[in-house]
Amino acid sequence: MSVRLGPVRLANPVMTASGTCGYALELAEFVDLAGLGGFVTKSITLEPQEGNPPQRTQETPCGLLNSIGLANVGLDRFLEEKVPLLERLSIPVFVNVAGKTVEQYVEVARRVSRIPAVAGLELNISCPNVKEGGIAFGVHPPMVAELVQAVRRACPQTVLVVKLTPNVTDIAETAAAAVDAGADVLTVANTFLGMAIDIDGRRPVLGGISGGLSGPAIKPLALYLVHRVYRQVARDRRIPIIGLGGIMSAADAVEFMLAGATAVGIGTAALADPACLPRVVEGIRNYLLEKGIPAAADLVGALQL
Amino acid sequence: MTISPGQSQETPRRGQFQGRIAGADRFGDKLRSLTVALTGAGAAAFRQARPGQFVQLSCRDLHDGRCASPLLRRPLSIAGIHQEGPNPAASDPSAPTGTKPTQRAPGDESVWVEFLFRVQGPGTGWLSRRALDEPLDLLGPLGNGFRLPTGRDRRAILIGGGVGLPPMFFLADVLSRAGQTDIVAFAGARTVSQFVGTLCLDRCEPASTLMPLGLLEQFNRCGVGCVLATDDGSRGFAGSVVEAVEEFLAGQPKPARTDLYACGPKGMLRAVARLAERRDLACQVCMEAYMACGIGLCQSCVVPVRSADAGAADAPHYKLVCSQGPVFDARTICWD
Ligand SMILES: Cc1cc2nc3c(=O)[nH]c(=O)nc-3n(C[C@H](O)[C@H](O)[C@H](O)COP(=O)(O)OP(=O)(O)OC[C@H]3O[C@@H](n4cnc5c(N)ncnc54)[C@H](O)[C@@H]3O)c2cc1C
Ligand SMILES: Cc1cc2nc3c(=O)[nH]c(=O)nc-3n(C[C@H](O)[C@H](O)[C@H](O)COP(=O)(O)O)c2cc1C
Ligand code: FES
Repeated sequence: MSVRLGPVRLANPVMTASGTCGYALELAEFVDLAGLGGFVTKSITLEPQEGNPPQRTQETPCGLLNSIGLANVGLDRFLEEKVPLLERLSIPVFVNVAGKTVEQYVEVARRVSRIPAVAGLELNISCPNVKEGGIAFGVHPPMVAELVQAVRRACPQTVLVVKLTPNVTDIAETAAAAVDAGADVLTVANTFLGMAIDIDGRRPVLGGISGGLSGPAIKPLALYLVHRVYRQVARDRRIPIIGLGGIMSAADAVEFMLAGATAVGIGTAALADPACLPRVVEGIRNYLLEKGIPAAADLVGALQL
Repeated sequence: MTISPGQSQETPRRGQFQGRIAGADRFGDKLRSLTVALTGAGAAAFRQARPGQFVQLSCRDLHDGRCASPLLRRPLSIAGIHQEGPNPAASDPSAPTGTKPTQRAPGDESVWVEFLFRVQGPGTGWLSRRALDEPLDLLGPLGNGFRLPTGRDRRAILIGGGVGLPPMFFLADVLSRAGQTDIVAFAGARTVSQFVGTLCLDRCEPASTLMPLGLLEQFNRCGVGCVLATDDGSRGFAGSVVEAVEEFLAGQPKPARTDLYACGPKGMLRAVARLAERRDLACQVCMEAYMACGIGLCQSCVVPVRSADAGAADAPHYKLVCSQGPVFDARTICWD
């Protein structure tokens, strides 16, 4: 069942998605995290962030809109309070890093990468760049390149995962920019921009006005992005992909792996049902047994065209 | 002194459990009750549950990966924890009349958890279609629950509005079991058919609408009298439940210590908080918020708070209703 994300070995391909599983402690009461392939933390920023005004989430048909606004405890409290617990996890931990400027990303990345228990960093590049008028880092290939290069230079030894935004015209371009700038792994993808309107009050439902759509509603969209990034960028350059977006079951996970994902992330489905994490691990194991496929890694990109 | 309902003073354990539906009833206008039987670790966890705590109920088949609607669980307050199952005759018309309540078999450590809810949309609609013996997946018990100070010279005032009434039934039960005798409940609804509890109106016609009487079965069974208030005046006090509390208190000598416990819509809780402030009464409020996970993973369910001794320098910040609440000291909530 094991797969490799660069030098990092995962016992199985199933990981948590950033922001949907807290800092592990909260979830550990409900599922045995040791049975997962890896854990990804909520995004950490340099300063603590209170986040957006409520309402912060809204269920939509088969989906979930969120505008949490990266609410998190900030780097100092993360290091002090959360890391000691993450150190007790027996599975690889990736710390998701966010920021408003390149300098902020670099500062957080530098300090987090020194923690021995951290297997790698995941850069959330869907955040607005305040120096460029709030446009997301992840939408412009040159901005992606600048950010990834800066973090790469600051942390030359660290496994660097770059989490791409789906809100672009051609994700292959931003994927290539990230890889050229030194990304070791790509996560495909983050949430799709969306909104909901309360027609009685004629107001946006979300306090943040718009938000990101996740859950099964986005699965076909995210699956296509994995397929495209794999074929256009990742396969030839041997860059592993963490595929996510709407995965609810082992069948969904296998689809992502066939499209080219080496590992998969589960976000919204775990919010709704923590037990779905071990169930997907079990289901992939059963699929491999049933089909007589020796290794999970054999599924990666095995789509027949 | 602070008491907790179970034997242990520790934070209750919680988890994801499979229960079985042991009772399902309909009453009033789109109102339902569900009783869920839990065994093993689930029973042990819920035996420690505190009033004000809630569960997250799954409202779809979790084992069918293609069944994604409604995606999120739905939060429901715990309306009661029982060591005996419901009377099957009450729930199942085909059961022989006079059947005794489900008795505990020797060695059976079951616990029955009661919920009362209004059918609002897809989630509560799905729950309303469940039949006896079907499984239900739940996370719980969740949240902090009320702190329960007790003492001879204390009076507890319980105020429940709309779907905020069910946790007050559990609270009345636990307080009265702990030996508190001076408990008065206030229940509010828009109209008489919408009380989220079992009315026993034929029992008595009160001389005054503000006289606490046995008008709600769930309060009755723990010996707690209640005052009803309806917005449209169709029964009991005509007006808001908080106005009823205010008028009631005005006509009473003040006991040494009064504790207000409230759960309901935000506007009602705000009015209760103001009343508590005016009369300098301790007040705990059980808040609602839109929740995605219910267990502290997603940061959805925030409410703005400041610390109780509101210094000017103390900036409001957010707390999570699901895991740092749902019960808060009313003075800490930023109501505007
Ligand atoms: C801590 C807590 C305890 C509750 N206890 C009870 C109870 O004991 N009895 C009872 O009848 N109701 C209770 N509610 C309200 C109940 O959760 C909602 O009525 C239910 O979620 C509606 O779901 P639906 O799919 O039927 O309707 P929907 O059409 O989804 O929603 C109807 C309304 O319910 C609210 N709602 C929907 N989803 C959520 C959610 N995930 N979190 C919070 N609110 C939501 C929305 O504001 C919406 O306007 C409680 C809510 C909370 C937060
Ligand atoms: C409530 C919520 C919070 C999230 N927070 C973050 C975050 O802090 N950083 C990040 O990179 N992605 C965040 N995401 C995006 C998820 O990690 C994931 O990319 C997305 O939800 C798609 O996967 P899913 O459909 O399995 O949820 C969040 C998603 C949700 C639903
Ligand atoms: S509902 Fe997810 S943190 Fe409270």
